[in-house]
Amino acid sequence: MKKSLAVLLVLCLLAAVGMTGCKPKPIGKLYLYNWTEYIPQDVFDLFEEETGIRVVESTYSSNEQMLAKLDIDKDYDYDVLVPSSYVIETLKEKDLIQPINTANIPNFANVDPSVLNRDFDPGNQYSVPYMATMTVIAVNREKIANLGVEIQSLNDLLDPRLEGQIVCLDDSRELVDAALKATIAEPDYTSKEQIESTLPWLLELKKNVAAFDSDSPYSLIASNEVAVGLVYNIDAGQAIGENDAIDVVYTTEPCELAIDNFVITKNAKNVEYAEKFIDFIHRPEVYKMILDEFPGVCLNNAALAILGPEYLDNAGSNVDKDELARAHLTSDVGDAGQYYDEIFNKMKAD
Amino acid sequence: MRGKFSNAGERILAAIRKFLALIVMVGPTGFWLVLFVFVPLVFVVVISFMQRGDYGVEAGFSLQGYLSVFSALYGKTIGKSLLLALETTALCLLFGYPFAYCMTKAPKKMVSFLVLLIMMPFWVNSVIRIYAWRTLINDNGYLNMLLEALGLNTIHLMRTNGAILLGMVYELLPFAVLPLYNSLEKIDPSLLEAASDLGAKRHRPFLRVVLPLTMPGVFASTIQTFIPCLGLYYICNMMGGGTDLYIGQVIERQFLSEAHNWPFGSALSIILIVLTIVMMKQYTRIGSLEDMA
Repeated sequence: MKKSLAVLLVLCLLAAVGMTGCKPKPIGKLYLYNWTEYIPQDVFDLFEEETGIRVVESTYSSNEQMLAKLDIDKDYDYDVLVPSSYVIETLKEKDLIQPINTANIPNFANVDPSVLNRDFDPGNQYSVPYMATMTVIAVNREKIANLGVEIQSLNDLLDPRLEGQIVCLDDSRELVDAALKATIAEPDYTSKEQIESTLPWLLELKKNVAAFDSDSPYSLIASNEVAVGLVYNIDAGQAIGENDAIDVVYTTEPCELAIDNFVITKNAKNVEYAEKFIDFIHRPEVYKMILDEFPGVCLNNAALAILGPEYLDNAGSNVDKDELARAHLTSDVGDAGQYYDEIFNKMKAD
Repeated sequence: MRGKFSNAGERILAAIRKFLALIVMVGPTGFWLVLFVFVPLVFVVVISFMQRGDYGVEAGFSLQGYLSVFSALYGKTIGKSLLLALETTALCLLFGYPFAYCMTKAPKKMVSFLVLLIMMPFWVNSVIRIYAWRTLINDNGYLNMLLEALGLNTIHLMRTNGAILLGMVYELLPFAVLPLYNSLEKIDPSLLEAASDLGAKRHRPFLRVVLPLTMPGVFASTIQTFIPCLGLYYICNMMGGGTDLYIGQVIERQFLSEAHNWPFGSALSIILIVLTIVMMKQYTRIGSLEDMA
């Protein structure tokens, strides 16, 4: 018995050695600092198979976490980052990123023009958009019809008939931004007075909220527990995938949008690898591969042309193109961030 | 010159030899405590007196962190958190005491099994266990499926304050039972015999002998449930509906969200620590910290 076990062990060891032998040594490494769950491992494997460049990925769960890390550790060895639009300017000011030569990225041509040349990076000198997240309103068509509610404006979320029927993101920026857009025609997102003036609106909204949940709000929507959700498009997409009654509606106010972009760091050891990688991601087949796994907002028009009905027919994944162009880019509010948090706490504690 | 040098060296060696046993025994733990308890705490104290910056903190002295704490808003939040901790502690004692009492009465073989029952949850990460509770008590979860199958009314528990309390009690019950068991086990049975010989009947031996003798255990249990309860913010996040605000959540968001107000978060933590110490100090009237061992 013991002998056979030993033999088995030796065989396992040999097999393990044999398997590691299959993978050739990479010609180089690319250090990617990315959001968690944003690019599947298969994509990295395919990239290495093709180019011999191994992608070494570290992950973060907030832009602030990434920024703080780069700012403290000046000897970081990340080559490529995937920051949201509103931190690009800070990265530029801190001299942490370098200009990108899009001529070396032929697939840049596939990127949706509506997200190019935005205020955060005129002419896309420093950044190449990757994917986006839009905050949308998901509704249960049957439930809101039964309640007699129609949602055309964010203010319709305050309808008393929706009591206990809304799930909202548990996020001060998203909620206060919604309140600002609903109550002020052209809001100043950094004004303390304007931010504080949203409290009554938020308290009205709270009466209708069944739960504030950023982790899995889709489950409440998909299981018919609530009629309306102010959620990320990916949550709406997941709920739609599970429940036919769910749909996305757009209001007179624009949606919130966060574009995540590839940037190359100042410290990058091999710019050529970085360019190759960004170009690889924007190849339609590769981009489709990613969307099949993580159905965010597609910013690659060539990929859109080859995506299947599962993505295209899902109003949560495949958001309206006009709405995408019209959406408000969540901006950097600097010091005003604390007012958002304070008003959010006030709303919750009440 | 040389002689003097070697003399000093010898003296150092002798000193090391003298304290070698102490260094070997206390050294690793001491090192651990300094590195992972003391140093981080100093960090928190220092940050609480600094200024809010781009990512959370900036060099420069400021009392703003502490001034922000003293608003009615956070007073209410701290009050609510203390109440939750109190409820959790009370329930843990209520369920934990009888369980520990039964453990001492159980046959020797059963005791190790019962201890195993208490320890087993620790084999699985607590976040995963709380997720398991979510699937159990969800509106469409197993609990309601069972109730429906039995023809009973379903209950709405998930995303309520009741769910938070349930999660807290579940998480902290083992910490309440173990010290209680420890102190119950130490009671000499002859004391109870003596009590009954002296005429104590029915509940009297328990109230006059067992309960007073186990007060140290009650004290230790209380400390071990009350204090962690204030910090287990993820249970509030995962079980609650987010419609109420607990202090742990406020602190978390100062570091992990767009508030980036590290001084305020640190000041809140310090105040919570001070508040806890004050309460413990008051509480030592019925027990002492040595009972924690």
